[in-house]
Amino acid sequence: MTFEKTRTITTDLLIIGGGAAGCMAAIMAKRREPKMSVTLLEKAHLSRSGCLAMGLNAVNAHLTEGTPQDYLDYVRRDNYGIVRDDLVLSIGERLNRMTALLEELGVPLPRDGQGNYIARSKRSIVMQGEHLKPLLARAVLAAGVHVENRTPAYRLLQTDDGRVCGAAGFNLRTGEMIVAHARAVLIATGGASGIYRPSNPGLARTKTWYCPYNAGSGLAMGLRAGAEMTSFEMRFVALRTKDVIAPTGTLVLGARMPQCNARGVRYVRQKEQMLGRSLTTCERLQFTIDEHRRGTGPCYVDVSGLSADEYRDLVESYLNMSPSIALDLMQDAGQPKTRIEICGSEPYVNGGHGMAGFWIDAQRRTTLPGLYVAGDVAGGAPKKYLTGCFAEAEMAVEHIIGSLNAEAGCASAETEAALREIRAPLNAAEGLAFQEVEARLQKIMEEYAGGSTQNYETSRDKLLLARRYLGVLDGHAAQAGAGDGHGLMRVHDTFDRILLARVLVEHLLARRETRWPCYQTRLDFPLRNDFEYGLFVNSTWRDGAVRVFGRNLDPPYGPVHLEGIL
Amino acid sequence: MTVHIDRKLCNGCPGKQEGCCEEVCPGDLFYRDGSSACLREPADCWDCFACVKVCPRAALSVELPFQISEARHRLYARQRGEHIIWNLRERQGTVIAQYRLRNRQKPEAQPQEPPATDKKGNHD
Repeated sequence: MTFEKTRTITTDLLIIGGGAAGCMAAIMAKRREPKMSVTLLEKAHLSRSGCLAMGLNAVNAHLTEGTPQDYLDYVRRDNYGIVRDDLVLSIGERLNRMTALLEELGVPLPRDGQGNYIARSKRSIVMQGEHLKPLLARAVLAAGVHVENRTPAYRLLQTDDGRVCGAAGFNLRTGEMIVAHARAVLIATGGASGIYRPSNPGLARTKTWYCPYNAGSGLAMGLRAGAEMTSFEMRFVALRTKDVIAPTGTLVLGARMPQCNARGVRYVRQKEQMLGRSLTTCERLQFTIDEHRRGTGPCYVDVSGLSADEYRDLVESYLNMSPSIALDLMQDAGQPKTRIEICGSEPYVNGGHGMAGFWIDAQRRTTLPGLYVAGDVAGGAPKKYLTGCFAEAEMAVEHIIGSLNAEAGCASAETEAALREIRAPLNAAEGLAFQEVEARLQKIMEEYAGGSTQNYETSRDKLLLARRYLGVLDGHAAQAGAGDGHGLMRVHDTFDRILLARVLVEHLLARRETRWPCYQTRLDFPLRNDFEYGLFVNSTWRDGAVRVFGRNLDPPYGPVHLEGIL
Repeated sequence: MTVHIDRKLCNGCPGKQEGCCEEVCPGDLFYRDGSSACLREPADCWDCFACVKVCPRAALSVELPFQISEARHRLYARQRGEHIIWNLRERQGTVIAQYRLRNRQKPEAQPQEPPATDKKGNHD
């Protein structure tokens, strides 16, 4: 495996990443414009890659009641006023149509006696989505999309005037370098895990909630090419079952079981009665951590109220999305667990649950001409989930089809430089192992930038140390070497995570308030400050430095100078 | 322990360019050694079951790392028509629980027009 030969692909639309958004964009592009050539670069294998590999047991953004405006109101309230209203509303308007597409793909959505979907809440319905990813992949192939599996991309290609005109990567099985020239590029590579130390150490370190193979490479590619990012400081931390880190929605929404502290007190219900409203997503996590601090932890979801049949339904529901918890629930034959301990996950950079990602317009265009994004890499619109990713893919494709006028083709000198950068770790095989670099990155972020063992809290001086140590790490990381295709992918994934960590730390420094408890907590600025920080924190990366600035909450989102970051 | 490979059952998918597990693994963790699949680094496994579900010989199963669960059972899965069959077994092989779940539907069972992608009625 030499990585010396280069294969060039020329296509109309290049899609990078074959998860929910990437697959749906590919299907829609071919269905609406059959003559358009569409190429999809997939890091793993399309049939079981990324977040959907295990399956999914609910559609969490489907409006069982209420209007798209109600959806926007909910998302805005849950995010303490900072969301892109236009993006969230445009998603809300399309959600239920996207649910119908799932049935078209062949995914079973059970219905009640009246023919209605089975609601878990106002915005969630039951899905038997174990086979969702293979069904999506089948539809992509049937639509005539050209798919390159095992082909991660790590560099965008640009014309002299800055237009994005393709991407470069490699096939990690054949050892070919891959260059794709395109008239439009859509990134749908998802968010990033592995930036913070995982909840479990050692042999269980990869039992994360967010897909551990999502390195945020699309975000890193965009940063290197000069794209503007938003809201990295709003990390996403999930409230999950302890140890196997499985979703809790299945217990609390699906089975309607109560959250209790160690003494059996229903602390969530208690808080809701006290406040006279339902809790926000990050409050449910914050109050769980508060119980630990008070000495009344750990906290549980109490499933002792389930009948044998209901418990079986619960296990079946998990098998559709997070099968390994079934092994934990049924520890002793016939004696299923009745209290399921819960905890916070490690923090992630994620635009599907949280809001971190590319800064985009309503057509899902980034600040770089020719570059579109959809799904978890797209910022400003949290809580979009599966159907929201589909909706964004549709909006991007609609605009791409209507404006496909650039010619494919990139400057050859720039392409050569990109390929050289991608190959570089092959010549450093005596250098550091990527595992060591990754462990150092996770240690820095965990201890100084608010990891789970720090109760997600951080402060100025810790962040300044994180900034310094990440700078040093970045220097050493350049020595990380790879001996084969798998290693080359892992080294680049690690590089990308370091870059995202550096941007994340600058965002955390810039927001001198506490906006979203746990997602973004500054011990030195413990209160929310709407007057100064009722804005988006955005950034760009240029010549090895992050430039951070604010943007107004309302159109035209004018820039705001942020005072005294350092 | 994470993915367990039963060496008596795994035949390395002879005649295939890649083993089925090697082909689908989202973490690129499998390789073939002679006539058997091997895991590159068990600690990098997400327990997503992609390999377990696709193995034509049911040679793969998942057992949780002992660190996070003292239950030493194994979970198996097989695709059967429109269903997936899950078997939770003790290490000795005794089935503790079985689940049969519908995981896809034929186009004619759908309320919408059959999509263009299903013209041949193919189901993987």
